[in-house]
Amino acid sequence: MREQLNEGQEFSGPLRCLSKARILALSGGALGSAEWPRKNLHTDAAKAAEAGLPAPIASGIQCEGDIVRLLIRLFDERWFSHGKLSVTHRRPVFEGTWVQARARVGASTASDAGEIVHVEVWCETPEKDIVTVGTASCVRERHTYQEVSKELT
Amino acid sequence: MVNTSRFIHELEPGDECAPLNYSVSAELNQQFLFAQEDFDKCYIEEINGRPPLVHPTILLQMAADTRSPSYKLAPGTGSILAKADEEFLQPVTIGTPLTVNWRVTGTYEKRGRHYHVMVAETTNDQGALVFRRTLHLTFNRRQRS
Repeated sequence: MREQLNEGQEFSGPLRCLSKARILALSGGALGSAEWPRKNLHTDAAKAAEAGLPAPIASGIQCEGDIVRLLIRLFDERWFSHGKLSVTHRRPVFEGTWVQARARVGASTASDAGEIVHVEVWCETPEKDIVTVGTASCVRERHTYQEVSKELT
Repeated sequence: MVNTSRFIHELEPGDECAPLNYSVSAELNQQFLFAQEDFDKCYIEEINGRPPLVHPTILLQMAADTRSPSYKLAPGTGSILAKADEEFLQPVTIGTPLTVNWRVTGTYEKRGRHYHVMVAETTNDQGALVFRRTLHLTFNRRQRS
């Protein structure tokens, strides 16, 4: 069911754990390749140490991907053609951290393509530490003829 | 102009990195569905004759500057992605041949740090732009212990 997207509304994605397996799946390269897992600061302790980290960290893309998943829920497949997102990764996320994508609907603006809805987005831990933060926008799906007719009656 | 000789931190506005050609198989797509715990059927099933969609996380991942075949990080240097701006322009289905091109578009100073702005544009085999990611990168010299 399509979300209403009224200003001030907040939405949450699923709370999930960035486990070693999920980090390796994203950052280790294609399964089945001879070099799997590829060594980088997300998969290898020595590479992480070279980068000044105490342990491997999840790629920021994993939290970004959680935010995008939530935005697709809000905007449906219009996100794939009209979605815009800007993010900053505030702190490293270590293996075993639980994270959750969140969104708060802001004001809308008009454009030639239709009404654009602006959204504040972030990814946080259960302790409310914000690991990724940003803004997003997308064209709101136009009402169907049936919805407009229902509103007018 | 594609510059394959310089380290990433030495690139200047106008320089380009070597392009990356790739396509996403159903297997790779499902690997990312596991990574993201996102098993929406649009990424798995053919719907109304349309093949499964490529998970957006793959587009993000493959647009990283580190994916360019000419990417070179100088020894003792770290790369930090300070900010990323993304535009999703067309849905992408599995099996579609894709090309990513990277180009440095500018530099700026902020709070005493030097930043490079690099635009990664992903096009399909029809030449249509499907995804654009703008990377704000800064580099640091790592302390040797």
